[in-house]
Amino acid sequence: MFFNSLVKLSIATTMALSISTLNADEFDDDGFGGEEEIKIVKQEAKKPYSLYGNIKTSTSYNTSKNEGISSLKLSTNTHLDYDINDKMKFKSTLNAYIDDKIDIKDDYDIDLNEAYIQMKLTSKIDFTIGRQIVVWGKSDNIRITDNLNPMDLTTPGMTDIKDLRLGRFMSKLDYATSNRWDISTIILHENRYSTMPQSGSEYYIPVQFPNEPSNSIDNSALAISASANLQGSDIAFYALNDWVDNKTYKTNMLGFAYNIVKGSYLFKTEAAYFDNYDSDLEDSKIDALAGIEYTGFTDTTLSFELANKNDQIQYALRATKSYINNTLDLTLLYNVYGKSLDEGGFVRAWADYDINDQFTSSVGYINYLNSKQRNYFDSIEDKDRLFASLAYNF
Amino acid sequence: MIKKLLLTIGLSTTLLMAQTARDIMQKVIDRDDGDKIITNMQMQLIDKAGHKRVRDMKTYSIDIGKDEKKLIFFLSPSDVKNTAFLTYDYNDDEKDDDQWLYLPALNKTKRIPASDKDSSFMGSDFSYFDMTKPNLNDFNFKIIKEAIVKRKWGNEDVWLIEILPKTKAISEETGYLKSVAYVKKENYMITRAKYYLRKAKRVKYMDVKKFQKIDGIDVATITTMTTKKGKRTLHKTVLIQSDVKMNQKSVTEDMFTTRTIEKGI
Repeated sequence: MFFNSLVKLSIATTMALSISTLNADEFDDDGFGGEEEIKIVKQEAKKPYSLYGNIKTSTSYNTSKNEGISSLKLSTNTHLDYDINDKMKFKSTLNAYIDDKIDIKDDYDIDLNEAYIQMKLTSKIDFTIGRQIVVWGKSDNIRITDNLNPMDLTTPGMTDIKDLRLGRFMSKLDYATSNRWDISTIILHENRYSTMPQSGSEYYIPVQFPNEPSNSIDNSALAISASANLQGSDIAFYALNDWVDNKTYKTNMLGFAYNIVKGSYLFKTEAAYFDNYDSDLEDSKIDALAGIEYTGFTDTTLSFELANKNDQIQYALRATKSYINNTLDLTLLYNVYGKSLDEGGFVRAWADYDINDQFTSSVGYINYLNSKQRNYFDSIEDKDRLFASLAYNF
Repeated sequence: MIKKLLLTIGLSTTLLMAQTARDIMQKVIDRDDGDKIITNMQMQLIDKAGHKRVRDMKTYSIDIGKDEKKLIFFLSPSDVKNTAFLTYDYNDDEKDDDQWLYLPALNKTKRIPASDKDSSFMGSDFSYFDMTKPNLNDFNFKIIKEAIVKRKWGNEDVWLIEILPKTKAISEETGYLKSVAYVKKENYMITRAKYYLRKAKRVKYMDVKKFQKIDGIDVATITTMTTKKGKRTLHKTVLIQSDVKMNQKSVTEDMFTTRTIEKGI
């Protein structure tokens, strides 16, 4: 009885509301605007190939020595992708630069950093062959298990992340299981070491690095990984037999990486055991990392990573905030070594601004921190610099 | 006594209306919006000076029971080309959605905490929250009134439903103090919405400019989202869906993996 009354009352109320509002149209001038003509911006018809990338001019000014402009560089990062057919793709990346200011023998470089063919053999098996980049691990700033590709270390803390990893010629077979696991087996045919500052470079230190081993079958490296994306977490296991970067012997690595999301927090951990790593000091080592990323503030990412790598404590703190609909990104990266933060490192702050879809610009400052341990950072502590770039994207 | 009776009737009426609003929103969520869909999507980002940036995407989606899996590949411009986004949108309120972003510049797939809902989706006026189905248990609903929205293709009879986050934490997570959805009575589609942002008294206006019936299902093919402060437009996004194909046999569950966002389709 009471329920029936309520229903009637409700219907009556609804009818009253209807009568009062049906006569009024309050919405045309209510922030929505009028009816405008919207057109799709026509894009080029899909072609089997695409050529894209950027041409960038960049400069840096050493503020410690006031010696003027120390680098005036013209560079390109160019991609050519070609869909051979539905099951086969070719992808390549060419990096090249010429630097008018640096006084080294090779003030230019052309590097086909990636060139590989990716084949879909079955719905669950892929095969990729060629020079490629394979990233392991979950951390963003400190590499623990991410050891397949060497790095461009010619300008520490300054190299654009796109150009940081150097490709290696590999054969990679991937198998996707029916329960979310991806298994990869990789043969690394090419032995390539991280590139170090050359004589004449501001960052040069007179250390003789060994030549890379030949790319013979006997010198090939082997890698296996198993990774899964689970509900709320990701896990991966890695095994690697490879040459130690810039050394003359091989190591075996066993590692894992795991991340788990809790609300706005992403917790990351990585660990790796290496045998025969450094014959001068000890036979084995364990590198480990713990990290946390927080995305609870609007358009902001904060991340902190703490690692014990090569028996040295390393901290990395990164904060990025986007403004003006992601056209302006401000980033601060604090990367420092030593338990008491006294073994060197750098602080880099920069702003990336998208002028439009074609032009992007960047400006920033890097400050190298000296060390009480008399290490590499003492030799570059006077290399603090302002840097800027303007890129045309095509 | 009369005062008490009126109060009881008033409260009960409000409760009944709230249930009705919730029922409408449940029907909005449960409405058949198609399955195994492939779409070309264009996002036009327009700043207050009228400068336009254009992002082209290809999207794939599939329903797995009441859950939805979605893939978004960015095709242009060149600085975001091959960036890809994978989402598992769970219907279960207890589960956070899973999201991964593939960044070609890093050759790496990153997990994105799904609670990062108020951040801008790729620089647009749409937030990550706007791109996923909300958990209705997080909100209180109330029918404000019924009305007519005048369109050039005819009038739309709508309910105006006020949506209030139940807690401050939910408000902070979504970025909204409240929102008002204009739900079409004809088909339970949201044709307009106003979102009151926590940030700086801003309001976002979502407006569906074009509907199309595709395979018997109503699809919003042109939608705008405009961010305003007072009457001043700060930024606007136009989202255009074209070449919408439903019930595609080529869309299968095993596509929706991080392997696919890394290697492409």
